[in-house]
Amino acid sequence: MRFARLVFFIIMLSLLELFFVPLPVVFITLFLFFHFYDEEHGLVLAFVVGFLFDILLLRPLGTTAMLFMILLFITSLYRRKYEATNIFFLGMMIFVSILVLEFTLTKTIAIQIGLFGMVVTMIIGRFFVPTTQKYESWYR
Amino acid sequence: MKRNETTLFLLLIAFSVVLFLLDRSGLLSSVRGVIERAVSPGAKEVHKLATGGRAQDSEIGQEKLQELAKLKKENEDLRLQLGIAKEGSAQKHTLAHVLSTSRFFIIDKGQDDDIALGNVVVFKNILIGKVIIMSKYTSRVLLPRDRESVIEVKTTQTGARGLIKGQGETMLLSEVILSENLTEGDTAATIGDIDEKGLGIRPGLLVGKIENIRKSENQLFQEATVVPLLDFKTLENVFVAL
Repeated sequence: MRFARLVFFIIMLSLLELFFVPLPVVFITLFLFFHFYDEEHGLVLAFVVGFLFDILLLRPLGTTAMLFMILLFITSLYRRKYEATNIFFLGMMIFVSILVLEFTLTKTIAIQIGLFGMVVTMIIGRFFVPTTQKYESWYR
Repeated sequence: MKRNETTLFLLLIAFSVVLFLLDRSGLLSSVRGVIERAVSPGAKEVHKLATGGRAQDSEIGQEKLQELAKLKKENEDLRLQLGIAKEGSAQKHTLAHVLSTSRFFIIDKGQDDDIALGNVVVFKNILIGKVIIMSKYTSRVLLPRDRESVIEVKTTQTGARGLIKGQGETMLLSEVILSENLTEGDTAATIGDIDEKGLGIRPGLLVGKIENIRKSENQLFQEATVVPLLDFKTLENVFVAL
């Protein structure tokens, strides 16, 4: 049930990003969910949301989904390699991920958007994510 | 990442690649069409909400169509009267609703509405852009301010010719030779590139207003910043030249 609520929340965020604000709020949410709660469901959500974006933004199907999943996967590898639980490390990873995402999709080097994503991730991670529950499934 | 997640990741990537290949081959166009059809009405309403729901724009659209039809008839009658009637090369326009302006400019007309790649999109006498990507029911429009956009223009007051290149939020008027006269506040209009079939950007469509002229004796060309004449995010209805 909680997972259904999260899916609904992410769909609402998708509408926000598609129609109101050209900021990667959906990717930031996926990133936080993937790294702080559940990697499996995070990947599935990344696929579904990416597919939706491709249809509504007239991109070739599968491209945004692949990009989301690859970025999450690579950041996961770095996190494990360096055993990084430091919020600043995650902030740097989201900053680089957003730069790559924006450059791939819109051919712009969006430093301001990357900084926005970094700050939002660090604030949400620092104040709203209990680190002791970091590896527990949120919806159980 | 644990083994389960790695397997899931690889499976989803493989599925995405298959989807990509099927989409490129055109086999998924009907699936896309069904989803677009389902989402379009909601997208239209959400976009209206985002622009403040200015209902008068749709009324202006209908009035404009009627006015255009009336003027066309009057024009044809006058030409016949004066004996200079000729086969009309007047372009037809179809009304399109804007679905999204957040990341890209998307309208609700596509292949099924006889839209073709390269069709010009206008609002009154202002150039909105050109159709660059299409599906069955929707199209993406390349705006003059988009980075891939290059338009040949002429200023309306002084006749200076140059190229307008998109810079993201504004535009750059460049390749204007030093001997040409640029004036701040002047407007840049399209020179036009109509082909033998009558398709293309017609001349005289307004693109933007000139500001901040930069001229240097050391350089061959002068340039200026061009700002759009209207806020694309507030548009609800546009016209596609067929």
